[in-house]
Amino acid sequence: MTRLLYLIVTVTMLSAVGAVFLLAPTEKQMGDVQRIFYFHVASALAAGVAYLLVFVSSVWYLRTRDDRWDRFAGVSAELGVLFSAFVLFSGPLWARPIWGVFWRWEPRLTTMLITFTIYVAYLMVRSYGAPGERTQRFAAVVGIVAFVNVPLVHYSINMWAADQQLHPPKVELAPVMQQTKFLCYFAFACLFALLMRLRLSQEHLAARLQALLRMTAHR
Amino acid sequence: MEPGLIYLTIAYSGFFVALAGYLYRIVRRDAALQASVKALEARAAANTDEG
Repeated sequence: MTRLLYLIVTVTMLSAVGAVFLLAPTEKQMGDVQRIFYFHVASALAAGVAYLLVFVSSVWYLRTRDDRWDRFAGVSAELGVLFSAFVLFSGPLWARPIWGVFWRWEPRLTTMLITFTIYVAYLMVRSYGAPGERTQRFAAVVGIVAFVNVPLVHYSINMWAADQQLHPPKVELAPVMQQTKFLCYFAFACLFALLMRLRLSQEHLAARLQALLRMTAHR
Repeated sequence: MEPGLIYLTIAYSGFFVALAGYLYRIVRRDAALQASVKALEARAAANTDEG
């Protein structure tokens, strides 16, 4: 199954890159740098899904106290931070030739940075907290509360005044650009599934190792 | 080379370098974990045999 996923990810990622650079037309006003858009938006969507999974699995962990939901939340947060980091890396690179600066403290950028920082803090809670149910419970609460920021990132364009915005409220795309965007979404969905599978099986293995260590210590 | 193309190249190469690094880290940690689990299982089995 993992090998098949590797193959699917390779094919879809190559197709996505091919579509971004060869199929999608060059945007008239921004030029070639607009091609950052395809992976930038797909990454933002993947990060949003990851944070939603943190929220759902944290709620489920508090209900069931099943360690598997705790691990699922941890892995989802890690992937969310990974994809958000790319959003925060590629955004300024796109902004520099268009806005003339790498960064502006406008609503979308600021809320995205705050969300990223909160989930980094969530991962730190998990890493540096003492192993056990107390840290898992605390992490679950942080995972639930942190999710408040995610819709804020999405709706920041409507929530703050128009003169403070640099992101457009709606993006009109040519049909080929739309198709390229959806191909990138699909490629990122496959990549997300692969990374999730790899990290979850690794966390499962780590839990087994801990159990074995406890068992040998008791003998 | 126009600046837009330079930023575009940095963005996409950055993405793939980071992804490769992350995958490499996963694979390396996975190998280390599997080796530890195998070693502990073998030790546990040897202890059971002796007992």
